[in-house]
Amino acid sequence: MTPERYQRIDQIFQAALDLDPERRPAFLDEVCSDDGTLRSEVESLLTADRSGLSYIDEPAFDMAARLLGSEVPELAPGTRIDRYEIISLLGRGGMGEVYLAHDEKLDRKIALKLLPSDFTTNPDRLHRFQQEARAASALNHPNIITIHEIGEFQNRHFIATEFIEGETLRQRLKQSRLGTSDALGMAIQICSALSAAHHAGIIHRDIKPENIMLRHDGYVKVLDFGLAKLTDDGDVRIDTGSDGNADLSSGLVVGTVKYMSPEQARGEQVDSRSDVFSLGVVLYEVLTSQAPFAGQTASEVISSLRNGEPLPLKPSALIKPAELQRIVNKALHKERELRYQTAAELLRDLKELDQQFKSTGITRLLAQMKQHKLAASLALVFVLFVLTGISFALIRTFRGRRVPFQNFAMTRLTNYGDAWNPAISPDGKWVVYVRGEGLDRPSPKHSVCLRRIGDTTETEIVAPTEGQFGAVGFLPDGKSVYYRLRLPNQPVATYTVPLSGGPATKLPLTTHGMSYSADGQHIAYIDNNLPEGKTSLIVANADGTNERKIVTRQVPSHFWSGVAPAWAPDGKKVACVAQSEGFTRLIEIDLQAGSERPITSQNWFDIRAAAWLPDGNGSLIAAAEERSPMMQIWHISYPNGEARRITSSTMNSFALSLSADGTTFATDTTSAPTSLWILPVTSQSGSVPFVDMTNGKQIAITNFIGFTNFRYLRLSWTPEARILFVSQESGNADIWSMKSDGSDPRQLTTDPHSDTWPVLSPDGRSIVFMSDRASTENIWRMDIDGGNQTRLTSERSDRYPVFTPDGKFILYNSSTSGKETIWKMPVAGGQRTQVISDLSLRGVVSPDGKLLAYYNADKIVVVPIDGGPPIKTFDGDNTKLAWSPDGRALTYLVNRDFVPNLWMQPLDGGDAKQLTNFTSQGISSYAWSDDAKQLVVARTTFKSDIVSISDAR
Amino acid sequence: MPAVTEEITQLLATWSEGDPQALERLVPLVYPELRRMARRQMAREDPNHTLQTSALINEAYLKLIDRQQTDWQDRAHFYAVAAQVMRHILIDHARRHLYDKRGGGAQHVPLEEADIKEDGRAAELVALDEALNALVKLDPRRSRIVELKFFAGLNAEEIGEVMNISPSTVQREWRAAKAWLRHTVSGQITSD
Repeated sequence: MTPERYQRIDQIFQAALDLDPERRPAFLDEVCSDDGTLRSEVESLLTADRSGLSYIDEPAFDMAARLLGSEVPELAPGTRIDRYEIISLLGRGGMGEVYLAHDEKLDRKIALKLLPSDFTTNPDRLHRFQQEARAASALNHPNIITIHEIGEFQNRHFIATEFIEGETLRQRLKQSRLGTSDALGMAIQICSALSAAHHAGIIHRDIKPENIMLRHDGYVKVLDFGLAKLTDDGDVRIDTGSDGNADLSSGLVVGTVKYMSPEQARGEQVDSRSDVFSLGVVLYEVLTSQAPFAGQTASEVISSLRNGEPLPLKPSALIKPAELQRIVNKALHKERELRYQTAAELLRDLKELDQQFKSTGITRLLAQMKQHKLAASLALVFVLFVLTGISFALIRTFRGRRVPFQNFAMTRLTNYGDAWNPAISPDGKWVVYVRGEGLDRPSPKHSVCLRRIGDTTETEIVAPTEGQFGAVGFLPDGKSVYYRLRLPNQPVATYTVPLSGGPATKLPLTTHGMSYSADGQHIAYIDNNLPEGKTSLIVANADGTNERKIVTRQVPSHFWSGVAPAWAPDGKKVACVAQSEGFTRLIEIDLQAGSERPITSQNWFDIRAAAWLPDGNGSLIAAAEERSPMMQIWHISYPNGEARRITSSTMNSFALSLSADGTTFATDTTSAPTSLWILPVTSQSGSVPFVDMTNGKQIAITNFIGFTNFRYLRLSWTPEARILFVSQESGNADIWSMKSDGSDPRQLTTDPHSDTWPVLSPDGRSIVFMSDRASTENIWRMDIDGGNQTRLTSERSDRYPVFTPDGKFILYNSSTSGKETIWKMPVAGGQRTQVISDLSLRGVVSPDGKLLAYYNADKIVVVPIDGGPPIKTFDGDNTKLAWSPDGRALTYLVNRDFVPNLWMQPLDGGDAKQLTNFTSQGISSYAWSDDAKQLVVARTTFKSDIVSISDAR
Repeated sequence: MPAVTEEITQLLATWSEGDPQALERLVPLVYPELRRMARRQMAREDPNHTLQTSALINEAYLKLIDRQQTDWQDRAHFYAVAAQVMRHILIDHARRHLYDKRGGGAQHVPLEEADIKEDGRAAELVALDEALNALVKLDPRRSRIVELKFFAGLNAEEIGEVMNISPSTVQREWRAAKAWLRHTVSGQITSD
């Protein structure tokens, strides 16, 4: 179709839409008289308009939710399986999901593997599995995961094992290659595990990188002994078709076929030599980063396994030394008789090679020493130094290592709510930051300011400008400051300005988020090659010359380029923030080898800044845990990676800048304080109420819940003129009440989960609310004083309750029918019924109890509560729908310029009228008083100030 | 907090100055963040929930773009980018879902009623994506409205702000766009 044709059809179509349906045929007769195709196109559009495109009216996310839903773990945190309480999902595989759980009885963390229900329906298979698992649980070896319990709970079979903090070999291989010596050490540990198991008559059957865990302390643990049996119907894993070729159309074994021995692939009985082969494949892959048997499809792999030797190695993939090549080849022999006959045999060869490896290093050193006596004596001094160091370290350990910032003193540096991006001078005495001119101005100017810690004088070192500032920091000499600035209609540039005053000069650096090494000689930063989706760690001389690319990641795995790498004090490694598989991690990168290692096994929701402490024993980060969205300052010990929170504030800290001696850092305190305002309202019957904006009274400031949950905010008036509201003053969302003059605040809920959306009963004696304390979101009720908290609904997600005016029922949203619809249930308990079967959200009942208004995609629909066709529909999908107190209009918030204001839509169909005219902040929630004389509104803003925190030794 | 978002702010600025490549560069940057948040949201809430996409994107916005560094123009562009990213994520997911079901994946699972329903949804998404590709050639403004409305979950007022047109125009265009898309999906119009 040409654009001209499209426009022609569309024009007629739109014109026809404006006509009453019965007048359309005549209209089409007239305009399409000579063009039958045109007419049928327009008619088909009109038909399409009538039938609609139903699914497009629901937000895409709702529709995709089911698709994405498969990624949601089966067990929610808090679920109990016997004496274990689920904490989080660790991973999933063909053998079911593995969770981190807490063993209540023994008060320890365990890993809980939940077997898929369909795997255990065959009693024979289950019996064999149980036998095998019990035998495996008897194995007691440092390199075999300890099985605590094989159990059954409510018809689900599970295995509880020790919890290993570390990563699988697969995860490790994805990051970087293992060195030969590390690979050898790992192979020895796996082989030692296999040897012990084989001795006890247990074959693993499924050795692969996914089943090998690497602990951070260097221990290797082999998982899932004998469990492979559970997936078998016998010992044959692959059906062999009549032509002798494996029937792989079912594809069931693609994942593991790569590590399978030829006899296993042929479906023959396997013995310990099969495990030896699989280990050979793993070792081959670790050493060469490729599979020994090439093959695009499973059948090719199988045929390669059955018939061929490993494909000839590419020259670059040769294994060195030659002895290791020989060992791997022998383990990979396709004839099992020519392979290592036992794991113990393979173990002996590996250990011997390892010994040689270690001794060559020392021999070489000794030989060199003989040649250089001076060097020898130096080496001796070095050895003594090391010994002294060790004893010193031991003494320190026995005394208990001092924990940095266990006690600290905080100094507030700014107090006007519009300062951010702090940087501390190397001597820890000065802080620079960006200052805005005021929160309420539409386009404020910004400046860079300097302040001495403990001093009240603020010096402007960059005058206010309309430009936008980026990173700010001190140069290593502490005498100048650099900053990044985008002036209107100009590219971003980096400037430097002396503290003593003087003109700013442009620096040739194009990077942001950089950091200087401890000696000030080098900078490190993340380079972003966005078109190719690559992020790289770059190290360069301090003047920007001699750039060296250390390591590169490809999107979706990437380094956060805004977080400056943190230099270790020795200048040999840096800590970076990396993102992969949806998790944010803190990793260290060896600048020589380019190798990576996670500093802590913890996954973070977000990390915004990192700094290494000068003693090298740990680092500080500004980060939020995966489960909590609050940004705080944490200490991460090095090298064991224990995370400990330093600050515990109800405000967020995004920035972190550490002094050279590591005793003081600067950070920000950022919050979203919300003020509640009471606005007087005058209404005369039949006219639009007048909201008196000039005589509003601010009654309280509270920390409302997190940014995403503004939709769960709700305000309510009580008959005693108290106001119910949601605050996270206590650290999590709770329901509070206070007098309408702001006095006498009372916290009504104290549960550590989120309690939101308070709704007062018509008799004023009880409150219903939303809570996720039973791990799903449900509706709860309590007395007006917070007593007698009980759960009213128990579906998987029930939200947005409201009372009917008689106080006997609640209406609420539930998605049990497959989409969000409104349901009704007696407050006293009993059968629930669906009120609206179409997509319907956040219903509100009119004051007389006769009408229900709700959202349906982009319409507001008003229906009789007892059923019947809609009496009114209004276009618009604005938020926070409510009835006006007289029941003759609906009110809601309308976003213009991203500032919400309150509007009123009369039910009789007149034009909607704007009631408030805020130009900044706007309203995040509101409630009319019953007498319609007052309106309480919540107005949220974002505040950021600078503090410095000093270690109190 | 601003340093982390500087590059995005910069790209938005470049884009608003007319460099279409900047958008291409923005997508890989915003994508992982949105995807991660979507997953986090899914983990926290019931998968059947109506997720408030605009709230999700708003969170991404707050995280990625420093409030003080941007004016509302930047913000408007961000929503446009986010809508495209959402589209990538969802269509990608739907395609993979269909691919897996058609035997591309490792395991054949017997089709059950629930699967067929999901397949239907995935197929609808993919068909919509193709219809939008046809629409953008004929009427770029309309296709952008669909992106903002359907993929970014913005309402008519917000779309009006982003595109600098009145909310009533948005409503009107949205209605027409739906009819055209339906028309295209049912196979009566091809893009050429």
